[in-house]
Amino acid sequence: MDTARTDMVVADEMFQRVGIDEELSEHLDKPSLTYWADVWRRFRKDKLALFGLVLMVAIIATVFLGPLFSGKDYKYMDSSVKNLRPNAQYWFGTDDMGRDIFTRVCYGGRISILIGFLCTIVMFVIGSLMGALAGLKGGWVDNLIMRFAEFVGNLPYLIIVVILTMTMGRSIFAIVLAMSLTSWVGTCRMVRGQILQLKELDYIEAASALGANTTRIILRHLLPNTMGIIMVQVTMSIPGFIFGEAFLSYVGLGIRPPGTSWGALASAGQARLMFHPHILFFPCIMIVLTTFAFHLVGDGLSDALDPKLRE
Amino acid sequence: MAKFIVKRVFYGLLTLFLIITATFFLIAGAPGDPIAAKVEQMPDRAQEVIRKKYGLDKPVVERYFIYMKNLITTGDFGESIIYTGKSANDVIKANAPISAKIGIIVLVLQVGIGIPLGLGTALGRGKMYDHMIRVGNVLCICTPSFVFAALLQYFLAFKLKLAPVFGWGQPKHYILPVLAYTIGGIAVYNKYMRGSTLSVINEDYIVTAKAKGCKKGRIVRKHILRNSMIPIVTMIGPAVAGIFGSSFVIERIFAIPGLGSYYVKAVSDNDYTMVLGITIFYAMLYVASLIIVDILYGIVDPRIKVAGTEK
Repeated sequence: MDTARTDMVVADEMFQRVGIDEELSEHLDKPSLTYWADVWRRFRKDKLALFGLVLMVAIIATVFLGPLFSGKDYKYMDSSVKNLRPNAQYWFGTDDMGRDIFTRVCYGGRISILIGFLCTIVMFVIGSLMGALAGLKGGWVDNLIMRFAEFVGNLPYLIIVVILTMTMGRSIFAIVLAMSLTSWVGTCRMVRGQILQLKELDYIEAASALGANTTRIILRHLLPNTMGIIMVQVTMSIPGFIFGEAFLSYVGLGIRPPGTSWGALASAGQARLMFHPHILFFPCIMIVLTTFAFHLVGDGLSDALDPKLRE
Repeated sequence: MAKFIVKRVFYGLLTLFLIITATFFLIAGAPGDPIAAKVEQMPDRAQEVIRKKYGLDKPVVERYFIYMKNLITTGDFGESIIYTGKSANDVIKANAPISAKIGIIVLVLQVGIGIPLGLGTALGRGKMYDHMIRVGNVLCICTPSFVFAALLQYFLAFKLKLAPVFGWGQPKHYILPVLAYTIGGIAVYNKYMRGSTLSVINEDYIVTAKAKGCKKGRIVRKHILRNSMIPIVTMIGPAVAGIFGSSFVIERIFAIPGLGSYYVKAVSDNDYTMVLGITIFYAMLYVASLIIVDILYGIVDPRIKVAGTEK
């Protein structure tokens, strides 16, 4: 082979001028993607995260549509079918008062998920408003808000929740208020940090040079750019609140009968653990699956938003 | 440093003062007469005597000053209005050590297992055991401690009869609560330790240490561990306070006469004075542990102090 190569003659006519094709160099092989389409493309590649998303949608769909298919009422007691194991008619069995556990788990799940979402929304709204205000205004406003956030952050969370629910009555409203009151601090710090960072960037300066007012800068420029991190925090917070409510209800300080939630259902199942473990099993597995799904989605989302983190 | 400590302690005391004040007025303003249930059946004369005994005949503001005076001068947390003669101080003295014992064992196990595990998985990242531990970890984080408690009670205690289902008094009673409480914590420490180790593992100074021929053990001990432990220190502080605060689920499930289970009982009994006393005790512990962590943090990571003085 080596000898063959030395014999080769390199002649001019073997080369050909290619030149520049102006049109071809401008040609895009793939359509240009928006930020979120790009995130979705990366997210889709992560099989585990996709599985989490499917699980999440499935759980939410079951919880809201399930009772339509089971055709039972969550409060209806039938003393002839107490403590049944799961079967064709009662998919998750029945509890000690002869109520259909599947329907109860669906109904409780609605409350649990509702609390998770509501708390997250309240936390997110208060936190980002405070954070944005502190970050943009700076000066004494910043100082005041951050001192206040520090104070709230130093409060023992569970104790505050217990005291508030005790004094306001144990309604969903009280639980949501108590849990979100102590939790906005994290969002506030994060949004403020982001805004301090972004504020210095050229496009914000350009926007304000073009005469955009503060509201427009926040809504059109800052918020969309902090959206990514906020989304990750949102998916991670929802299961946290579902957990929090479950703990409260489990020790009997949360949702009260006839209302119910996964925590309250688990609490009721606890007493029957030895002989009818299925009563405890189903609400527990729902809490675990839901948290698991949100965790997977959150992890996948944070990877998709910032591919650098992967390495 | 001294200035930093004084400032931090001052803020801590301020926080504590605000918590006590807020709790006092929240509970005083709670709907319903705290003592009504107890004295309803008594003749008016007796009612008056009892109201006087608890100082309920005076206006709220005056009661507040009396309470604060007693608290500061004699350390008196108040007396139960449900169980006559039982003071919050007695309850704390009798029940807090039990919570503390379990809590300390749990914390030592969580940190002692979670941190080496996190370090190990970070060093062996991408290997089989890393993936396996990570999956297990996510599952453990997604499972509330009461689910572990139920699983352990059902399988270890009820089916295999390895430990008592619940109860208190003998060493064997520690097994299940400690296990149930420890597992989730191990996963959390593991997760954060892994993350924090990964973030330092590619720093220039690690590469330098490798380049100059440092032995692997020395790199891990002197260079990686020292830096990756910093964020973990902040977690341990609130965890120390949490020993009392968040153990009440476990204490309730296993019928352990700790402070947590007593607190929950006081809340469901509407024993206002007792709730107030124990809340203040919790708040003190919490604030104190946060102060200690902040000071420790300053010692462990000198950069924090520099950043603090620059402000």
